[in-house]
Amino acid sequence: MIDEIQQKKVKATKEKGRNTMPEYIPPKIITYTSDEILEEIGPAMACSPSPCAVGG
Amino acid sequence: MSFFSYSSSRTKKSEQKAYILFHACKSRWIKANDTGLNIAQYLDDGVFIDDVAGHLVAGYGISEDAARQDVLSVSDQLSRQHFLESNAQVRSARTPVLNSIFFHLTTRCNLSCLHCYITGSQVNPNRDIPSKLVFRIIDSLADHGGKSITLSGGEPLLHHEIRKILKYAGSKVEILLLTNGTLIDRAWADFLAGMNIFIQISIDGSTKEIHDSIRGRGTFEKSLKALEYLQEAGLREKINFSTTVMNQNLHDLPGIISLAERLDVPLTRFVPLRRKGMAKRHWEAVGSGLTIKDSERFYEHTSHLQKNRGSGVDVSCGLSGFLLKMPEEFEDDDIWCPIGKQLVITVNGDAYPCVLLMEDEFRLGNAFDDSLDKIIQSDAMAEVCRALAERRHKIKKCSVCNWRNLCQAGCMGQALDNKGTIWDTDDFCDYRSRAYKEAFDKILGN
Repeated sequence: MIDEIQQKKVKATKEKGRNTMPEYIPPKIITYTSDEILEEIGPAMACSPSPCAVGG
Repeated sequence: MSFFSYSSSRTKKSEQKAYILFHACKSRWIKANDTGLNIAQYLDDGVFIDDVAGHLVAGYGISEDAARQDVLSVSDQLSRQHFLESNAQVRSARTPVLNSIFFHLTTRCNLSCLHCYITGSQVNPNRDIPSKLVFRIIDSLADHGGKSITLSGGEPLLHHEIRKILKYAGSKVEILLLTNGTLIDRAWADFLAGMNIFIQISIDGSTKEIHDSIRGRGTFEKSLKALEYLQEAGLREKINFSTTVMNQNLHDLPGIISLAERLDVPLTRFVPLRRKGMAKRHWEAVGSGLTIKDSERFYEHTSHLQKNRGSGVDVSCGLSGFLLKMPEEFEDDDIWCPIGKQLVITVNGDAYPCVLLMEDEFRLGNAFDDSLDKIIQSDAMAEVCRALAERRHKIKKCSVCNWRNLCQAGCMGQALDNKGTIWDTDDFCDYRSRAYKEAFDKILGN
């Protein structure tokens, strides 16, 4: 009987612990192509036609 | 550490935080959520994949399989962007290689613009670079696998053997001709039409009044007539305008973009005025009214124009070092500046690494005396390439800046012009910094 009570206590503690664990949000890694950057923030902000003001 | 992270302070409490993970030494970056960052940090600390998965299992109570799969996925994506590599701390370096030559073919010019950075700085006012030297250099460039040359002056069309040079160069490499356009008639346009050539015409005002007040009476009409001839000859897609920003046209810059649009010119570029040559002597007239704020307002304007118009004329606003992704042609060593891949040759044969670095301390050799190989392999070239790669790490404010591997400390030549040293940033560091923050905050969803 005592064992049974003890087992119930352990189970309850485990469940309590499980309930307090933070919610798992899967990892998200995003890489962008030049076109996606253009789409996201617009052409002038992505890059001028050339990154060099001198060029030539 | 193979990366450092940036997140906006403006994230709402209800939203999961997002981060930009910047590669420690390259221009690469990725966006990650909290869990992504957490896993990336473990991996970056050298924790084994199974142990990182173990942390997820213990911390969130998820299954071992799910945890392992997520860690592997993050590891894979980071590796594809060259994060986590043992050499991630190795700094970018430029090995000199010859891709292009910028020739100042002649000191002759039919105009005498007060803002010119060349005229007035030459010892001999009417001198051409010998054609034989140009041919030898072009041959050597082609032998090195070089692809393009720029012909500038003075006015390059005034070189006494310019047709010979154009024909010779056109058979070997791509040409970019920088001209004021006033000498191009129909015969010239027909001559140029069959060539592998791009033509840049200097337009400093959107009206006859403004342009002629800078370049001389009648020049606006002549330059636009040249444009017409060139377009009729089939070169429409190969022409761009170039404008030097100065007192006289500061408030006309949007007008020049509209002019390019009306005349079907695909690209217009704006170039900062330099305090050199004629411009230095006439600074009061051409440059005294220019402020950093004026330039910043113009950058904002071009940014706004392009965002709202979609396709139209491309505008290069003159701001160097603002890029979110390395252009393909610079991906090999991850340095956007062309220094170390080009040479500038003056009429005297002197070789420099950039038109903005034509000072004695950056002189690399002389094309009359030295082979291109010797110039490219010179200690002076190695030194300037080292500086190019190291500025972002050695300039104090850059070394702790989030954007250092993107702007790479800005333009070395403009820094020399603006601050008198390459070991400082140029005048637009603060502007770029704000623009980067704005761009990345937008990417982070704020």
